[in-house]
Amino acid sequence: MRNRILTVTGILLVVGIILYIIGVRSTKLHISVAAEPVVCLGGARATLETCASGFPITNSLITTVIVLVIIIVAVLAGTRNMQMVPRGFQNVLEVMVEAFYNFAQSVDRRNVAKFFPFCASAFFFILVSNVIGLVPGVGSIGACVPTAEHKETAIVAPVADVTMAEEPAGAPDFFASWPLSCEKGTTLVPYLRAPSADLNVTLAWALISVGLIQFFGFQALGLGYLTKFFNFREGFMTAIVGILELISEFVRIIAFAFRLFGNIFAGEVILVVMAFLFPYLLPAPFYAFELFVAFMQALIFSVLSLVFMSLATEAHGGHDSHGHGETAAH
Amino acid sequence: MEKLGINWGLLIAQLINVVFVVWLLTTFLYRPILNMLNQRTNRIQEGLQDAEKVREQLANAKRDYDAELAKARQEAAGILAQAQERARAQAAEIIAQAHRDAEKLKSDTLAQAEQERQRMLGELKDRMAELVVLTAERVLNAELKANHDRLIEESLAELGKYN
Repeated sequence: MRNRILTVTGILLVVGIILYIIGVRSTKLHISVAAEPVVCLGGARATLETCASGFPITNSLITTVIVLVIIIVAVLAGTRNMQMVPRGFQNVLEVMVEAFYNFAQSVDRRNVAKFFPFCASAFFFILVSNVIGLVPGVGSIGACVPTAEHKETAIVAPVADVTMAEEPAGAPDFFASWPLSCEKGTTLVPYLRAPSADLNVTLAWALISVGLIQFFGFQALGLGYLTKFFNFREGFMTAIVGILELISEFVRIIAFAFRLFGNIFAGEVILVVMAFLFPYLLPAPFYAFELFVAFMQALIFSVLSLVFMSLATEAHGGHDSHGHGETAAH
Repeated sequence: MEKLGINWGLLIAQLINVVFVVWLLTTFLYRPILNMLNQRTNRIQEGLQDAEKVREQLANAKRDYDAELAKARQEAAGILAQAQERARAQAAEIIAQAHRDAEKLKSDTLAQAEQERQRMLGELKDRMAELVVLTAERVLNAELKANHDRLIEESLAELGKYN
C-alpha cells in the first residue's frame, strides 16, 4: 500500500516536471478580491471588477444561484417522500440536521427552536458554497475580458494582476494557440466563483446574523437589552464596558463577514498560487486543507451566531467575561 | 467599498438570498425532519413501553400458570392421597367383612352341625330305646331264666357308655 502510494507519487512528480519543462503550465496569474461581473445587465463594463452601469451579474451571484439550486434539489430529494424508517439520502439529511440540532440544544436548550433555523441554514449554505469553490472549473473557466487600460482605478488589481507577460524572456504561453484561450491584453473572468469568496455574500449573512442577534436580545429582554450597552448607574467602568460592548456588536458584522471571506478567499489564492508555481501534485495537500477550512468556516460562522444569540438573550450580568470571545475565534 | 467588490445591488440581492435560504430550509428541511425525528422518538418510546408491558404480562402469565400448575399438582396429590386412603379403608372394611362373614359362616355351620348332632342323638336315643326294648323283650323272652340279670346289666352299661 505504502509502496504503491510512493510509486504513484513519484511517477506523477516525474511526469509533472517533464510537463512543466515543456511548458504545460499556467503563465498567467490573475487574482481579484472582488467578484467580477460576467455580464453587466443593461449596461457596460467599466473595469474588470466593476460595471459602469447596469446591474452586475457577478460570477459569485451565478454560483449563489447554483448553490441554491443544489440545496433545493437536495432538500426536495431528501424530504419529498419521508419514511418512518429512513433510507438513503433522507438518512443523510436527517443525520446532519439532527447532529446540528443536538449541538444547538447543548448550547441553548431553551431557545433552540428560535436559533436553530438561521444557524443551521448558515452552516449548510456556507458549507456548500465553500466546497463549490474547490470544484475544478470553478474559477478557471470563463470569458476573456479586455484588461482595462485605466489600471490606476483598481488598486487591488495591479498587485494581483501580475500577468506574467513581463516574465523574464517572456515565457511563451503553451496554450496561446489553443482555442478558447485568452489573447494578450485580455484576462480571464471566470464564470463561477465561490460565493463565500465574495464580500457581498458574507456581509449579507453577517448583517442578518447580527440583526437577528439584536432581535432575539430585544425579544428576550425587552428594552432591558439596551442596559447591556448603556449602563451609567453602576459606575464609570461598567459604563465604559457597556460602550465597548456596543462597539463590539458592530465589529461583529465586520468580523463575521471578513473571517469567512478572508479564509475562503485566501484558500483560493493559495490554490491558485500553488498551481501557478508548480501545477502538479503541489496543490493536492492544499486542496485537502481547504476542504477542512471549508467545513471549519461554515461551522465557525453558525456556531458563533448561535453562541452570540444565546448570550444576547441572557439577562445582564455575568456575560461580560465572554462577551469578547469573538476576537479569539480564528 | 468598490475595491472590495461591495455593491449595494448585489448586497441586497444576497440579503434576499439569505432570507430565502433560511425560509426554504426551515420549511422544507428542518420542520419535516424534526417532526419526523419527534415522531420516531415517540414511536420508539411507545414500542419500548409496549415491549415492557408485554414482558410484564408474560411474566404475570407465567406466574399465574406456575401457580395454577402448582395448585393443580397439589390437588392431584390430595386426590390421590384421598383415594389411597379410601381404598385402604375400603380394603380394611372388605377384609373385616370377610372375616365377619367367615366367622358367621363358621358359627352357623357349627350350630347347624350341633343341631344335626342333637337331632341325630335324639333319633339314636329313640332307636336305642326301641332296640333296648326289643333286646330286652328278646332277652326276657329267651333267657330270662338263665343269666338275665347279667345281660341287663351289660346292656345298660353299654348304653351308658354311648350316652
